[in-house]
Amino acid sequence: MKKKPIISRFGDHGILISYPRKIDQRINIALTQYSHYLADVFSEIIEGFTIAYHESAFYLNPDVSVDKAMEMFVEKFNQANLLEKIQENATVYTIPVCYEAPFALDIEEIATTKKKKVSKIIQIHTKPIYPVYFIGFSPGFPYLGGLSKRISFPIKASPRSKVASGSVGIAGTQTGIYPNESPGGWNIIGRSPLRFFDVKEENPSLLKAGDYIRFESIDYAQYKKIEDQVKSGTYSIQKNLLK
Amino acid sequence: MIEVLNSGTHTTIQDGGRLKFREQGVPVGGAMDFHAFVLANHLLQHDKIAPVIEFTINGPTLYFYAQTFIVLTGAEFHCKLNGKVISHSSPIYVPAESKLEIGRVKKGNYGYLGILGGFSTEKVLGSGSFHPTLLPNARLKKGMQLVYIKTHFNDVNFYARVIPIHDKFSRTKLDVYPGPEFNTLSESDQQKLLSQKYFVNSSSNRMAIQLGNVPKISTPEIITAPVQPGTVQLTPSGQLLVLMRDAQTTGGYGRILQLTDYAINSLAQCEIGEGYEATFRLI
Repeated sequence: MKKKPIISRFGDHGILISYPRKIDQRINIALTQYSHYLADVFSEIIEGFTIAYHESAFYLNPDVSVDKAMEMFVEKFNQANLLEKIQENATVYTIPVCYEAPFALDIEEIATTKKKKVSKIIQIHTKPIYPVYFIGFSPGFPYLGGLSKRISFPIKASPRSKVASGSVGIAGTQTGIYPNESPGGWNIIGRSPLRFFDVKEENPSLLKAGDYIRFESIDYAQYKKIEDQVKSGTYSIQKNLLK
Repeated sequence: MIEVLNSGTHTTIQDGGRLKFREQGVPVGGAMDFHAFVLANHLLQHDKIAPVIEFTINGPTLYFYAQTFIVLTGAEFHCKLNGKVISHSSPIYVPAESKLEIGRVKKGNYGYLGILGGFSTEKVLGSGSFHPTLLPNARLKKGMQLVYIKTHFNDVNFYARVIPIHDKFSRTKLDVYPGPEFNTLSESDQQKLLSQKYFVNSSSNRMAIQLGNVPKISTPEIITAPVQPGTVQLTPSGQLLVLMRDAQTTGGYGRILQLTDYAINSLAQCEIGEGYEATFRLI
């Protein structure tokens, strides 16, 4: 992605970095790498930032001139070979998911409607390596790309008032994980025993923009075992480098 | 220590919020009227900004076990300390074994109670601001006990007095920047947006303030993108939502305007209902 982003003001202390309006993995990777780089280099003047599909926002310390900071952001981008320099090896997290009762509330309905066996739905869901485009909507909630169209399924007409934390769902062409118990309208196909958001951690969200995940099917007994390990702090999540 | 005798409509602990975790989906939170929150701290001559109690519509009734000083800022409420009416925006001595009754709101929406030395409540991700996902409690409840820091205040003199100007609560001018999707509106829609007199709808809360009397204008939904407190969203059904402190960090509605910090505080206090007005002023 050689194209330069547009840099503009966003309120009293905000700067918006905008790439072309598209849900496109190459755009998101360029945005994420540039944004993480800026957040690192200018950490002293940045109070916080948000990354989405094609745009990120930086919120500056109120003492800093936004115009000046915008110039500095542009300057950094223009430095030669920026993207080559900050290219990093992305991490693929293996997320264990139990696609069985009592967790997989809607998998039968999807299987029936799609005229597929439940095992086939699981096979399709566990096959891809999904990019984490960004974290938004609620604390630790990952926006994932790459769901197979073969198992896309419309969001529920009326949301459930309570969806358990760790629930894995499908809504339209998206798949995702509920990191916290909350109301929700996604079709629930399983549950992971992992903790996706933990305020006791330095980085409370397990995942961040630029990571990848793959789902691994586990049975109920394995779910219970991992759940205990997570509780006692002895579980270590499987990480691989994306090749 | 304070004991909550009556919680009021929606009473929370608030401070400056959580700025550093937005890329992990954590809302900023913090006092709805930041100005009034900071003022409470200044009037108590705090070196370090400390958490306050925020309340709306009907305030809480609180029992103070130990003596202290308090200050009330922001919206004006009917307020009695041990049965006597107390003043707004100036520090007040509270003897041990006192009952503070904060009744119904008179002017504005969000009132603040600051206490000398500040409340020492649980902090999560660097902030004591209540949030339903992050902290065990979403609001103060009857019977809860709040600890405040003991201070030696025999020699404390409070000189500062503030006369609150509350005209702005009924006719609010909101300074705005054009939002990222402002230019997706036709020129005539931009004119309509900026010349309209709005009012604050009663279905507003800490996440968003909904405006009434919205002209017929439209903009398409967008790919989910960053939002912040003060972002004005236009929904496909033609509603105008101004995101407030507890808003999500990303959103999928067109961001047609962005309020200044000052305007966010003003809007938080803008009187609710059709008799009042709020207008936008492009800067």
